[in-house]
Amino acid sequence: MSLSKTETGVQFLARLGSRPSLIHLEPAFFGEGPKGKEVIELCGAEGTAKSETMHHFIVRCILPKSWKSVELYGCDAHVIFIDTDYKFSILRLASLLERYILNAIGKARQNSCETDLQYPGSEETENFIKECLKKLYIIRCTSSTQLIITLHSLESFICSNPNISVIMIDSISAFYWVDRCNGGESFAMQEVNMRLACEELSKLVNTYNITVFATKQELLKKKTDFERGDREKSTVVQKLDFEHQEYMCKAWQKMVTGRLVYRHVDIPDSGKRKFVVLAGPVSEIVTFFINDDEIQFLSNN
Amino acid sequence: MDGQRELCTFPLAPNHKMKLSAAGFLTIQDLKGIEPAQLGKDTGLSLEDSEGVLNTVNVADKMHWKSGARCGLSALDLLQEEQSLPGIITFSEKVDQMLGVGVQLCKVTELCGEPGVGKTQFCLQLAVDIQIPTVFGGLHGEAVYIDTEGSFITERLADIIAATIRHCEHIAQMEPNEELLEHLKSLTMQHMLTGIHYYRCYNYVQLLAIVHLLPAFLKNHPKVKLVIIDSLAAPFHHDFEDFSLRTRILTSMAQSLVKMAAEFKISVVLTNKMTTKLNSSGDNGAHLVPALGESWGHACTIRVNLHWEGDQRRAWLCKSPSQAETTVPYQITTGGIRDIIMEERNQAQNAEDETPVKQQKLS
Amino acid sequence: MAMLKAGLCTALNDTVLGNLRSVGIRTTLDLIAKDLENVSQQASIPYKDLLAIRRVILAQYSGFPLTGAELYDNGVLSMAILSTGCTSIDELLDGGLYTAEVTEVAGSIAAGKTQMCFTSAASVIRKTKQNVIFVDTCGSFSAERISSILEENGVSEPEQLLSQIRCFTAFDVYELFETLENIRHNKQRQMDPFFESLKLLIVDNVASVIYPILGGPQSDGQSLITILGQKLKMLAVEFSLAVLVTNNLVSSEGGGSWSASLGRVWSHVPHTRLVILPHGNKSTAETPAMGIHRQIKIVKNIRAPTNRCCNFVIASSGLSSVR
Repeated sequence: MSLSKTETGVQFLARLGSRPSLIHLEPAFFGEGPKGKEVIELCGAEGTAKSETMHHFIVRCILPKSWKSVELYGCDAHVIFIDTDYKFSILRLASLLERYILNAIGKARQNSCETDLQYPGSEETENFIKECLKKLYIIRCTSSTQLIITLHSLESFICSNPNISVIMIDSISAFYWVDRCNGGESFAMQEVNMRLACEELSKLVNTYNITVFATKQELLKKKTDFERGDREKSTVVQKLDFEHQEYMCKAWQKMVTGRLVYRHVDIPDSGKRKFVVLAGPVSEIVTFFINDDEIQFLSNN
Repeated sequence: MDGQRELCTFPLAPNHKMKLSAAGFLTIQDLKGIEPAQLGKDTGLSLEDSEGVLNTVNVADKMHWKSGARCGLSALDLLQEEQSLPGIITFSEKVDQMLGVGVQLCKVTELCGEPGVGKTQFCLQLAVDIQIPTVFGGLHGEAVYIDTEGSFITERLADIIAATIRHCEHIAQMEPNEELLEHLKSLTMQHMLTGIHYYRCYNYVQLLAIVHLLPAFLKNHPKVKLVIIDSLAAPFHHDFEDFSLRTRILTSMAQSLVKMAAEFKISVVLTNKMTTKLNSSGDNGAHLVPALGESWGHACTIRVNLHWEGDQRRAWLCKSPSQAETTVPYQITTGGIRDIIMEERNQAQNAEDETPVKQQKLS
Repeated sequence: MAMLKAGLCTALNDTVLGNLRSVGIRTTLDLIAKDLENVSQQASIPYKDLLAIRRVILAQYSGFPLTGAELYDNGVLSMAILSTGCTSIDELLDGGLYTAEVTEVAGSIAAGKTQMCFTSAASVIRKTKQNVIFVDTCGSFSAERISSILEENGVSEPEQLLSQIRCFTAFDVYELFETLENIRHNKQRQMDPFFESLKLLIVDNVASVIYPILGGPQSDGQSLITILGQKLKMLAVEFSLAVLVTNNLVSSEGGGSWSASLGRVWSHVPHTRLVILPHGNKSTAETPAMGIHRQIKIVKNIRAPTNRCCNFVIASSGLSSVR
C-alpha cells in the first residue's frame, strides 16, 4: 500500500495553486522580484541591520494592497518566521507597521488633494495592525534538531494555508558551532543536521512555491583579511570589501539563489551610521540609513 | 521545556562528551531512565565512566538547587556578613582606610609595581599581620606563602615579626589584663614563623599544581586565612610563546583563586610586575602598565598600583568594587609598612622602628 | 529530544524500538528524514505505526507557532523599561534597560561596569517592588557598596530593600549554566515568590568564565558561547526579564581601536551594546568627592540610531549624570 504516493485534493491545490506574490517587495534590493522558489540570504557582521531589514520585509509582506482607499503596496502574504536567535521583536514590528501606515496615509493626503482623508483613530489603527499581525506566524527553535522537526511539521501547515508564501529564518547560522561541536571529528557528521534542514526546506520551496529569506551571521574571519587601522576606514563605498567567508555546508550554498551582503560605515563626527548592501539580485550597491523607524535609501554616488 | 539542557553544558570530560554525542545523546532528556550498563553499551564508555556521567548530570539536574550556594544569598545576609568580616591590617592606617578595612577577606587583591617599590614587603607584612591574635585586633590566622622568585628573605621577615611583637607588647602594657598577657606569651618569633606555610615554585607548572592542591590544603588547615603568591608574573612573563594558551591558563587560575577566596573566606594576595607598552597615540612614547596582559587585568577583584612619586612611595587603588579610587603615601621601615606621618605615641616607641628604608634589595 | 524512547506513543514499545535500532534508527532525526515505506519493510514494523510515531514526534517536538497578534498582546502586557539609575544613560538607551532584551556593557579595567550594575540594581529595588538577581563570576559583588548607593540616593533604611537582591556565584562556565538553569527552573515552577517578581538579571562579568575555554584547537568554546547567549536571551524573552551583562574591552591588533571581547560569535548575542570608552592611565580627578568622569557610547541598538555618546560620573551615589 503506498499511501504516501497519492495526494489529496487539498494537497494538489496547495501545490499548484498560486500564493501571494512578492513583486515589488523592495525594488531597491530585488527589482521586480523576488519570484517564487527563491532563497535569499542576508549576511553580515553584527549591527549591520540584517534583522532590521527582515522586519521591514515582514511589514511589506503582511500589509494588504490598500486600506481605506490608501495605497499601501503590501503583498498581502502570510509569513512564517522561524526565530532561532530570540532576536525577533514584535513591538518593534508593530511600531514599524504603524509608521508605514501613517506615512502612506500622509503621502496619499498630499498627492490626491483629498483633504477629507482623515488619519484614523489610534484604536482603529491598532485593530488594523493586529489584523495584519495575524498573518505572521512566529516559531522559536532552540536547536538544529528542533529546526529540522519544525520544518517537517510545516508541510501540513503550509498545505492548509494557501496564503503563506514566505518563510523567514533569523538566523540560519545560529546552531553552526553547536553542530560542529556535537559532530565530533568528521565534517560530514558536523554538517548532517544542516543538510537535513536544507533538504526539507528545499522540498517546501519547490513543492509549494515558497520564497525563503534567511539571515546568516558572519561567524568567521575572512581568510583574506589583512589588518587595517581605523584610520583607513573611509566613507567611500567602493573601498568596502564585500567578500565574506563562507562556512555553511554545501547543501545550503546550493540552495541560495540571491545574496544581500551587509556592511556598515560609521560616519565620523556625526554619530550616524550608514548601511551598505551589495544586492546580488540587482547586482547593485545600495546605501541606506535607518531614521525613525524608516529605511531611507540614498541615491548612489 | 524541561529537561532540555544540553549535555555539553555539564563539566564532563571532552572524550566522554564526544562519545555521548556520537551515540545521539544530546540533552538530559536523552539520558533519563538509562542504566549505566546500557549507557556504556550504547556509547562505548566503561561502566565506571557511565556511572560518573550519570552522577554528574543527575546531581546537577535535581538536587542542587536545594543546597545553599546554589540558591543564591540575599544581599541583606551578604551585607551582614561583609560588615562582620574584619580585614587584614597593613600597619599603614592610610592604606587600610584606602582599602576599606585593610586587605579584604573573600577577595583577590593584586599588588603591581616596579621592582623595589615594596610588593614583597607588603606580602611579608600581611603574612605576619594575619597571625596577630584577635585580642590585639588581628585575625589569629595562618598564611600560605607561595614564592616564585626567591624574594622571601627570612631575616627581613624576622625584623617585621619583631616589630609586630613589640607592637602587641605595647598594647598589653597600655591596658594590662590576663587575656592579653596569656596571648602575649605564645606570641613568639618561633610561633609566628611556623604560622607561615612556605612553598617555593620554579616554573608555572609547579605553580599550577600548588594552586590546584590548595583547596584540599585549605580544608585541612582551617586557620589559614591568607594565600600569597609572590610573584605571579615571574613564571609567566618570559617563557610563553603561545599567548592564547597563557591567557587561558592565567584566567583559569584567576577563577580558581576567586572561587577559593569566596568559598573559604580567605584573602588572596598576588603580586605582579610592570611592563612597558607603546603609546597608542603614536607619539613613540611608552608608559608602564601591569604585566600579564589585558585579560589578566580584569581577573583580579581589587588592584593596587604601587609606584614612586619623586622619592616617595605611593599606593594607588585603581580597581575596587566597593572603595573609591584613591592614592595614599606610605613608607617602608625596618619594622615593615608604615604611614609616612607617624603619631606621637609611636614616636615614643623604640627608635629603630623609625628608620625608613629607601630601597629594598631583592636577591 | 534526540533519542527515540519507548513510551513516546503507544506504537513505540520496546520491541519496535529494538527493531528500529537494528536498522540503525536511534534518534528522532533518523526516523523523520527516512522514507517510512522502506523502514517499514526493513524493520518489519507496520507502516501505519511508523506514521503514528512520526506524527507524535512532529506534534511534540516541533516549535509551536504563535501569531503575531498573540505575541503582540503578550508583549504589550509584559514589557517594561527599567531605569539604570543614571538619567543620561537612560536617555541614551531610549528609556533604560528594556525587558525581553540582553544589554551588554563593555569597558576596560575599572571603567565602571560593576558600578553600573550596582546602580541599576539599586535603582530597580528603590523605584519598583521588583527583584534583582546578580550573578557574580569575578568576586565583585559588594552589598556594602549597594547599601551606600541606596543611602546616598535618599533611602534611609537600605536593609529593608536589600532582600530584593539575590547574589549567585558562578566561577566557571558550567556553574554559570547551572545557575541559569536554576533560574529558569524556578521561574517555570512558580513556587518561590522571589522569582515571581524577578525583573532584572545581571551577569558580572561574562568574559571571566569564557576566557578559560576560549581559543585553542577545540571548537567547544564557540559552541558554549552560542549556548550561553541562547540561554541568556531565552530567559530575557520567555520570562520578560531585562538582562544586563558586562564584558571586557580589548584593543584590536595594532592598537588604536577598541571593541568588546569574546569574538564574533558573542557579538551577535546582545540586543543592545554599550561601550564605556577607555580613559587615561590615571584618573584626572584628585579627590573622590568630585567623582570620576567617563564617557559611554551606544554601539548597537535595535531601536535607535547608534554611536551616540553621553558622559557620566562615578560618585558615591553610583553612576550619575554630569551636572
